[in-house]
Amino acid sequence: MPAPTAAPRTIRRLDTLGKPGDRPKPKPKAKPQKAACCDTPDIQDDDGMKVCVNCGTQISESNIVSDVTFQEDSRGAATVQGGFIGENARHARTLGTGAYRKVGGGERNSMQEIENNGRRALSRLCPRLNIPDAVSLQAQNLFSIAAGNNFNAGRRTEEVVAACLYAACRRQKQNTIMLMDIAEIMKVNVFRLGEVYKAMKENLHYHDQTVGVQHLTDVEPLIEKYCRKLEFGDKTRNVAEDAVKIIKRMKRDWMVTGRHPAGLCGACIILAARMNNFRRSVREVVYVAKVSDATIAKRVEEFRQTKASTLTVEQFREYGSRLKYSHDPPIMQQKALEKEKFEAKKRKRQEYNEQRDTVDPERETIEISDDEDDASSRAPSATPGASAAEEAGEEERQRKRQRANAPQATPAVTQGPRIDADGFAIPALPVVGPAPVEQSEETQVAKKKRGRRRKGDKPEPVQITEADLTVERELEDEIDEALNDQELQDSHNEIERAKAEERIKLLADQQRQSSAEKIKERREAEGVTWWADKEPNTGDGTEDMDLEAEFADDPEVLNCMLSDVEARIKEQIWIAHNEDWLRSQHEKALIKQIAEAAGADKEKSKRGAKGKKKRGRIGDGTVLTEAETPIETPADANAAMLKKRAAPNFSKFVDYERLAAVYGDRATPDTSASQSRAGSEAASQAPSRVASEAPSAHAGAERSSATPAPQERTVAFSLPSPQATQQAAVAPGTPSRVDAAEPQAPASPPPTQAQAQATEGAEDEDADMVDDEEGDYRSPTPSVVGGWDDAGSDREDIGEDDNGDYGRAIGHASFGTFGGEDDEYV
Amino acid sequence: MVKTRRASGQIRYEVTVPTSNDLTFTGTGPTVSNVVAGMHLNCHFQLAHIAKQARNAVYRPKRFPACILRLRDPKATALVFEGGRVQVLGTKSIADARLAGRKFGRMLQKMGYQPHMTDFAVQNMVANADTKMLIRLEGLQARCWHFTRWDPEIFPGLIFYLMKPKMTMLIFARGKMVFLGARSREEIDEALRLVWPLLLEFKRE
Repeated sequence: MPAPTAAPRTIRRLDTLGKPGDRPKPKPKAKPQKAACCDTPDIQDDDGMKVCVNCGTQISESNIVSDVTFQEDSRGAATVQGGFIGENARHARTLGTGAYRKVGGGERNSMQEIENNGRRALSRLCPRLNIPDAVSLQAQNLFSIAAGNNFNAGRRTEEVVAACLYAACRRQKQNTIMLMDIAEIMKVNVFRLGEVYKAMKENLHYHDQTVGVQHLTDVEPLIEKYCRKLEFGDKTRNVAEDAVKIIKRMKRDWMVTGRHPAGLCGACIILAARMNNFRRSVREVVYVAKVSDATIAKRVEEFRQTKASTLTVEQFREYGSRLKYSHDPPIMQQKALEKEKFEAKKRKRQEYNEQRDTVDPERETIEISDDEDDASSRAPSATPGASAAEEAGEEERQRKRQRANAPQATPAVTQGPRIDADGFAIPALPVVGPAPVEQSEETQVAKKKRGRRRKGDKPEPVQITEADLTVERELEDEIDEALNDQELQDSHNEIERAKAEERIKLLADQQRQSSAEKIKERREAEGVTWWADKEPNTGDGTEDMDLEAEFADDPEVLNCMLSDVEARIKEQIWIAHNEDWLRSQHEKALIKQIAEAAGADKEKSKRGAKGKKKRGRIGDGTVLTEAETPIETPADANAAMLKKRAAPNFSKFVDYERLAAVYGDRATPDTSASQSRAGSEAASQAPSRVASEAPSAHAGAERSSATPAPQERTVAFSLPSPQATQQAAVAPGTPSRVDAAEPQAPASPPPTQAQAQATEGAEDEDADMVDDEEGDYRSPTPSVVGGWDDAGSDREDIGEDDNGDYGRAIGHASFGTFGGEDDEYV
Repeated sequence: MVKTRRASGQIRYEVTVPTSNDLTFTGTGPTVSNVVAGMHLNCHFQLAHIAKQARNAVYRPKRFPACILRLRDPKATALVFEGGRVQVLGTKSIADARLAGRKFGRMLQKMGYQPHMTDFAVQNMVANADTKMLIRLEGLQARCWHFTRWDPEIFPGLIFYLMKPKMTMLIFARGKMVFLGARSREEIDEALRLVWPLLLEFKRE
């Protein structure tokens, strides 16, 4: 059958290819393969291979077999041949579990490793929560799915595992594991866990039931669990039953929906425990239910507001949960209560205001100066409709007023037992004679300060004492001074000017607007109305003129700009607040500029043509330098190490000068340290000539070759290198100051005779520390100078005979052998 | 809840809502409480300069890379970004958001920029409604579990995800609702129209 159809098809295909203009038809997918062997392919299956019977070509071969084969090893043990490819694995694990351990520190198959981690975390978690194996297995599978969905990426394994476990628990109908329980064991925030759980449900297509149906946490099993924990003995069952009855009642009273189950359970258990003559404190329940005591107290209080709470224990047990009546949710009751309170307050205020308004005109006409009479005149005018409480309040007020005026009040007023604000009796006030005038005045003043002055009160005659006058005079002087102060005047003037300008601008704007309107009217009268077609400022494409016109009279827009003075003040504040940010910003810009400049240089030298950055690695010594580029040679590494680590503790076993000679002075640990040390040593050990010359020689030598190194190595910073500045700070006044001014090329200029001598002198001083074999240093041969030159110009030389030089430089006996080997310095 | 599998393998969930004679919304609202709108003013701003000059401007570059401007009428807040992007927040209607955007534009114009508003788009609208009835969230959750999420352990409200229009609602047992993620007033009304029969189904008898 296939033979006749296949043959013409191949020809036709060639035809279409041959036509130049024709679009080639899409190839049938399997056909070309079929036609590969011969004109009439007849492919048949032969023991896993596909072979064309006509031409004998083997089309394909299947190496995957379904039967398991075994192999015998040398000891005769049989092992399965081949490897196992896990569900999510990419490779077979042919080499066993331990094979990759040593190479990369972990398994090659990362998915497997992740799952193992999850399993481990789960096995730590489950026993502590008494979770049955079936559930933990579900959790494990969920974790595998989550890991397969890449859900664990960017989250902690523990969190994901916890979410999986919770989801698995929620699949059970009688779940008693709360998110809080898991969070407590793991010591993480519940809400963080909740977040992860929610995200996981979304990620794993919760609704297609990968996670499974998440049952709502029922309260009843939860109550049972908590009751068991609270140790009610053989009454546990009774308490739990009562608690369940209470929760049923609560459900009917709309206290449960949307509430956290643990809080409700806590409240129910406390009540049920009391019903059964147990005394469980809120604190105990809090420890078990893991909600705050305030929550439990609130739930209990809410329950107290319901009708069911008025029943006796027996009544409640009998028909408490079957009462037909049901309350509104507590929040609604609360709101209603609040509203009522607010209304009452409002009414009270209104009444009080009315009273005052009715009284006020009387008071103005009667003009009674005494407060006491005032109050008494007011009392009968209280509205007759006021409630008893209102009257009581009025009396209270009256009493208070009397107390405030006590010094002036006659004993007749304070007759009867006095009562304070809380309703407690307090002893009567002692009756005193008329107080001195001054004092009463003071009390009056004190009284005045509190509250508003009433309309009818007459102002007291003002008495000015001498002290007041002097104070006033001083103040006046100060004010005068300030007014005469030029600076203040200037700023004041400026503000005035700014204000005036603004005013002028405003006026001008208004005028312009009015004139524009006039012109518009005139044009309209003439019959020109092209602007009517234009949409008045609602489109997106806002033009300047549109905006200007639209908000011409908007006060906010008019005043949106600060005046010059204000702006300056705000700027100052802003800069003060953001100083560090500005600095860092500036620094960034500078560094960028420098980097750009350096990048241009690099391109010239064709080193980092594409700006490729050499990455640092562990152990490359990058930590020793501030720069990010790794250190290239051992010599540089040594130098950096000495500079960073050995600098503060100067070693007396190291001949730094020699070291400097070897490493072209990149090795000098800390110029200031060595210098000062050398100087001080010289001063203490050798007198006169050497003392004066040794430090200068050091300084000169170091400076000649120390500075080029940082210039060469750290390109990124234009700041003066700390070494150079230190030298400048330390070395002033030394005779070799002239040297410092010389151009500091890597190849240092040959030292002068004096310098060479100085070096020699310094070495003389250190001779007692130098080994015998290094005596050859003492001769002022040019080889020393040559060494300097070498060090400066060619670093690779140093790298080669690194050891020998190091041995020389460190004048310790143990290094002597290295020094003996090379003769080139002799 | 009806689950159907399409030819493409896509699974479609549907909730059939009973149709009765009276399905008019009897609660209050929905009232829009916040509109977030974005726009582009097509000019580069120097935020530090704006912060120094404008009266109600705050710019804390360490915290957030935008200058915050505030308006009283209409009450609005704008985040002005350096590249010219402006977000207007806190307005009560789309018209207000647009007006506020224009006003901010005018203010920036006074500071010497040449703003030109384009790409005005509402990004989020938040609205509140009160159904004035108690709702049994358990029932609602069981009825349309595909569209809802309710974990009293985590949040007391039921979260209702609508597919079309794509937005979210929070429904509380007490009967209050919050609409989130709408792009227009019509979407909010549509969402309420869709959900209202379901709520009636699960209200307290």
